[in-house]
Amino acid sequence: MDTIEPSISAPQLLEDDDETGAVQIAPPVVAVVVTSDPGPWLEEALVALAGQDYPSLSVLVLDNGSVEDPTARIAAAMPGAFVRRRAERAADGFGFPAAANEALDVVEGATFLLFCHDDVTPDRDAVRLMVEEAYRSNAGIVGPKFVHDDHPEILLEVGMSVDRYGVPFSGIEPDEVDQEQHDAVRDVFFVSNAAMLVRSDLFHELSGFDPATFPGADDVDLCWRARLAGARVIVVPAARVRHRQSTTNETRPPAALEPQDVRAKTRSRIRVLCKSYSGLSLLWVLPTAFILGLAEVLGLLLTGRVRRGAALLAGWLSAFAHPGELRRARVETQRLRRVDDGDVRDLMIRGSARLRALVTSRLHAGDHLTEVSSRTRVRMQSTARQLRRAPAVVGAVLAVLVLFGSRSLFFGRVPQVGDFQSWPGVGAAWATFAGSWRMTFMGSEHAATPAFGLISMLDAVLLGHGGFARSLVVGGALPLGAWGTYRLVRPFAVSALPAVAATVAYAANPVARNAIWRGELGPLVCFALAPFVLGAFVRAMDDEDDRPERPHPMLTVGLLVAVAASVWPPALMLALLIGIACWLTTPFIRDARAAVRAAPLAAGATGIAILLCTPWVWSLLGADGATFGLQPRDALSLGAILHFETGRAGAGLAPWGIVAAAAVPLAIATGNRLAWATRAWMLAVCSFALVWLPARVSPGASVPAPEGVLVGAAIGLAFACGLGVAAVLDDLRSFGFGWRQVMTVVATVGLGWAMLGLTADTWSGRWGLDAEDWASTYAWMGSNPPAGGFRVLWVGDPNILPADVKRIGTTGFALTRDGPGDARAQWAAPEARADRVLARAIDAATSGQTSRLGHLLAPAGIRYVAFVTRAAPSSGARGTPQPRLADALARQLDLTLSRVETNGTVYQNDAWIPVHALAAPVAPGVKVDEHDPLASALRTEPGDVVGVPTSGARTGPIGPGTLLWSEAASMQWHATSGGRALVRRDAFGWTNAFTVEARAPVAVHFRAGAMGKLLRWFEVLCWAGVVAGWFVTRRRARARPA
Amino acid sequence: MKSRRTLFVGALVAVVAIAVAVGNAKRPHAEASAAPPLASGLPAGSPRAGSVWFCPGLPSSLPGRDDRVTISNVGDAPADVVVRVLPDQGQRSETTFTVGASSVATKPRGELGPEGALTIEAFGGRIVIEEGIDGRAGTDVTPCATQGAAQWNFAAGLTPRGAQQWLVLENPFASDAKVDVTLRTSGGVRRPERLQSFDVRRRSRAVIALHDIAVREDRVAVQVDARAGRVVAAQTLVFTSDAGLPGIATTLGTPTSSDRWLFADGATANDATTRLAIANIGAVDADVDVQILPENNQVVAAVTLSVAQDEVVWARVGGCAPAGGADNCVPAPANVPYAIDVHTEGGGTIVAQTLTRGAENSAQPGAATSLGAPQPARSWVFATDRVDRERSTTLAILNPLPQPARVDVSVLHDGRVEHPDGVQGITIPPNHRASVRIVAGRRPSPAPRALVVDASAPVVVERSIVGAADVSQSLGIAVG
Repeated sequence: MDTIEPSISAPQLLEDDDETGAVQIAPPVVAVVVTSDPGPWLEEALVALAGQDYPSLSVLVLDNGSVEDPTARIAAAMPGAFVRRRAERAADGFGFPAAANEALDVVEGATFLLFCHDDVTPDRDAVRLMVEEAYRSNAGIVGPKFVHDDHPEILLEVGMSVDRYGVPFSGIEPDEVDQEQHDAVRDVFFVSNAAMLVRSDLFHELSGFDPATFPGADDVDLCWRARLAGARVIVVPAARVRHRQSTTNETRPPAALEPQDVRAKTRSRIRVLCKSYSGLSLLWVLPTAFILGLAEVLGLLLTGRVRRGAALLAGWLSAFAHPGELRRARVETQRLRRVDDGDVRDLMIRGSARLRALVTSRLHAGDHLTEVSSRTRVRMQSTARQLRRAPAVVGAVLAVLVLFGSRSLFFGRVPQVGDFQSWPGVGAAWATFAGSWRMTFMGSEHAATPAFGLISMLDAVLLGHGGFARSLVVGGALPLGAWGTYRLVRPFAVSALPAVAATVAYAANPVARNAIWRGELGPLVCFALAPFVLGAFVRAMDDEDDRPERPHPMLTVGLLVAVAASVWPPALMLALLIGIACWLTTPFIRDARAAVRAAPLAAGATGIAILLCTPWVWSLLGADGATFGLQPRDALSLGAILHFETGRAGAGLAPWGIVAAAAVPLAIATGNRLAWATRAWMLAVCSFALVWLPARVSPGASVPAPEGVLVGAAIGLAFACGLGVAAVLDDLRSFGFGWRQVMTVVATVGLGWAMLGLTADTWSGRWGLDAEDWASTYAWMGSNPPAGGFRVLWVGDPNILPADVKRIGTTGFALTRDGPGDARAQWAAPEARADRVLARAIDAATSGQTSRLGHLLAPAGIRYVAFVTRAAPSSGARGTPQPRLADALARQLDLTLSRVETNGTVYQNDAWIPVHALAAPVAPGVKVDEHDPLASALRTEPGDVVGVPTSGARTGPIGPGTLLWSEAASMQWHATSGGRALVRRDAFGWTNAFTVEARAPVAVHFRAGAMGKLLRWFEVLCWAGVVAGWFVTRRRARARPA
Repeated sequence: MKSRRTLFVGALVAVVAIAVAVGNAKRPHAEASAAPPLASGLPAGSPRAGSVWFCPGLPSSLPGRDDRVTISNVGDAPADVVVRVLPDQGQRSETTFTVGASSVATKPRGELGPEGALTIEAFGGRIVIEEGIDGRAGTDVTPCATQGAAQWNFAAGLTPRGAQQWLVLENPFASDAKVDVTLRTSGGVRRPERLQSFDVRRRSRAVIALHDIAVREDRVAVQVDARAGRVVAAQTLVFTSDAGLPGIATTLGTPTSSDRWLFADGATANDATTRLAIANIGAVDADVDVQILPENNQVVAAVTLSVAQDEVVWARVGGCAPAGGADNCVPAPANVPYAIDVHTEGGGTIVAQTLTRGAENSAQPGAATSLGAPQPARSWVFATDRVDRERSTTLAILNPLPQPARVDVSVLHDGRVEHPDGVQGITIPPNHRASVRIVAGRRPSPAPRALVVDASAPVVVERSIVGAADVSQSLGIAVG
């Protein structure tokens, strides 16, 4: 085989630069000019090459099957050039790579190969500059700056990039004038093979061009493989080459038909993708590229270019026409791999190169964008100045809306719907908290929640105005939560606008309104306190000084969580949820230090909350789900969860505006704001997941109120909204006009939309809460109370009953005393045996096993059975229909229909026995001493029993007979009469009975152990200690120099 | 930071995408809560401790009555029975007695208190109760109800000369009930004003003479809807000598509607006529297929009857005239017992009931009526197997399912459970019926016995008691 050995007798390339004065020899370069049916430009190219100032340049002209032999022309233009002719042109046309690959065989000894088209004219110093930079940058492939042949001031290419899908992109706008704006040596994804300097050893290692990637992707393929092999590809703008683009400009016959060209280029591009990407990347790149291709085809079809669209599809298909060959080529390419796809992708452009090219070339968008960008920047700055006045206006409007919407709660009466039952007086609340016997259901010796202590304290502070205290809590939760959100976000910007925006997002969130509508006190309190909890986390995690302020946020969070958990046990997890969200964001924001700070804060605060709720909280261990506030609820769809549609409030899709606004900081925020936005979103995601997942994993399972769980999402998104506004004010100015600005507009509209939703719900004055309640409707139950007292059994859907509920299947039941009851029926003790007896009785009736439900309930002193289907008489949340229960109640022989409302029915129990009653000494119809609760009750007739009036725990003179004391059976119940202890025994197997031998007053009391009292005092001391500690640490924190 | 931002947004989008994908996947539904059991005039399950039975009783105006109540304890423990009378006049009364295990107690109605409905509560044992009449007025025995319901239906009713149609409504509960009574007659649907919002006071009964309201009607189907409360409804057809041989046909209504009704006991006898009444209580017109299943396995083509909405259609069964004869006749082989399978095409809801009238010397004298069974069951109980002036008692057993059924009949009395050889292991092929003769001959009856029919596959069991001058047909009490 003939070979070409480049001349090395050329003048020296570099000046002497060492002390020895040794001469450095220029590395030999062989210019490989591929020509085919050349026009007059060939001579010009050869002359330019001959005129290069590079001393060691040889020229090889490869004629790729020209019709007319160009040898004579070449010899005339450049006598020193070597000429090699190929007999036939490559089958697929011009066939540059196939021809160029002949250099692999015919060139020996060259350090570099300079591949050239025959229509390029390099400046005199172009080759030298490229070779010098190749050494300086240790590059494997070097490309020049291409300019227009006739108008060298017009740029054509300065290095090229591709998008993820292999479509080339130059970034040079049409007719862009060369003002040296791109004149920096830099890495590029590929350089055009119109003039490409390749290190010879690299070219051999890569086995040259892949002819199958011609046309359109041969240079991309070579450079991509070079990069995979670890070589650099750079552009040297100082080296300038004029390019005639004879093929593109169709001055070279024959020009390929357009559809064929499209097909071939598509095939080449897909082949390059298949070869070069790793398998994992291909999994998403190829489908995405195909979808984009389909979109392009659709566009072509719509614009009438059917053949072109078909060619594009055909290109896709033909790329996989020879899978075996493609697989081998891929194996060869992957064998070269020394770098990951991630490193290669750094030089790719994002998005679609075709779309960018369209915008750049067709719409001349660059100029427009620049203009709009600068105008936007100016407008943003002026708007930012104007917005400094906006916070006060927006804040005032929000405050008016919230107060207007809550007016009936503040200035009227809070209806006793759901958990909003009337609060007992100071003494009664404290007695419930500190007493040894709970009055929920059939009574319990378990400790009561600290909520009763807090109610008592609040009542006392308000001079015993319990109704006003309740109004403050229910009506004030929303404003308090809004204020907490303002405080949370305020430190993140100089302007108050971000804090106001966050406040709007939180206050406009339907979670609080729905909690009010449903009468859910716990979630409402959680809503009010969550911003303060999160605020404490933010301050603690952003605090550079670890000590001694750490205890203060921990005490703050602990106190707040304890208050929230005492009214809604799931709130005990609030701090942990925030801590977990912080941990989960660590991989994204790479701030392990913050996560490390969050963990002890969350754990410590939760520990403090548990301490404050001791001993009540320990009674929850192993308790039934209803005690935790878990009930079976209708599963919410993902869409409903994401826009907080848990009830009637929300104004349709308006809450989506909050979500849209919260997305802004993820796009434009930077630094700490981006970190907190990420954490806020993680908190929201966790919160959403906690609502959504249980319904997916275990449909029908008992879950906490979604309004409470979604508080995490509400505060997370509101926080993100605030951070987004802060980023808009401070960070957006640094961006040019683009989608970020559009997103800002969307977010603003979204927040406004959410605010409209809030506005729409203000009309009722109580956020949709019904003005009436069952307590008022059934107040007649408590008038003229019979001697001995009675209970009311509420049955229906567990989510709408006006008292704390236990469950049997999907039917809930609750007990109140002497009428509709008050808040003492809330926060029930864990389910006990007596509760299960009630459940069995209800189940027996529901399943048709008895027609004597009244008899079965009689030992519990149940005089009325109230079956309700809505949370309030005329509106309110609807319960799940309970047709079996309704039918069962109607079929009882001993329940008389007493009162029928639209959504409630009251039956009177014809067989009821008063809670405190005396059975005659000989009463065969009263089966007191039978052990089976239901069997004994079933055949007990109330005829021989009379109610016993009591004052406190003392009866009037009674006896002789059997005193029936209808509290859950316990050996710790004691009675004395005339100074003598009475013998206690179980009545009906589940309540208490005392034998009264002579007529005398009887005193009955529950004798709790000393440990119970000690624990309650311990609890009080803990609260006092933690509150005192909070004040002390707060003073220290404030005293710390800023 | 830019890549981290992208990573988080990407992760966020991925999470939402996955959630959407999972959300769009087939969603596991919570176990649907069991549909409320339709209140059944007949016990839907086993009689249990603490069970209650409602016996509406016969109209007090019937001449020469000899009412009785039969209480059978088919359990293995004694049962305390409390009988409360809801009297038509006077004070309520209560009677308590014990029925031993595997024993039958038959009480003359007069011993239990004044005329009126009965509410019978049983504590312990497994009690089944039937009430009936056996006297000059006629012979009839029918189960009492175990539940009140909001709707009751009867298909076969008529008020020609000599026929009386009585509707008895019992409200055993503690709340008043208001009912609407709808009559589907040969002249169309009637809703008599006085029977709308008709008040049935708590713990009482109301007896309505429908023949005074729908006078001289060939077809009177009755529907009772309770607006408030629950009631128990029974219908008594009284045929006086003006209408041929006197007889009484009484039955508890059905609280269910169905697209299929099964009758196990049917026969074409000399001097007797059986007619099938079909009332369409659904919202659409119905094509009803009536399939006769003769005991001799003869194949008989089904007859399709068109029953318009709110219409009641009667069809004679057997004894059809030659071609060109009367409409609505379902052919059945002569002198061969048969079962009837009545079902609609397209799921219409109907009520079907038979009425048999026969001459004194017929195998089916007097009058008898029976509401079919909407579905078969594995175990059936009859509180009694005989009346005083007994001619015969037969059990007809229909196997409507595609697999054979093996049937055992047990007899309980005086604390004993007997398994007579001849009625054990009776195999009934699919879609066939079998007859079991329990009592035969005109000899004085000893103490009544309870019958328990257990089958390996769900069947329908109907009892036919032929008295001296009247016949009683009754579906058993399904207990499993």
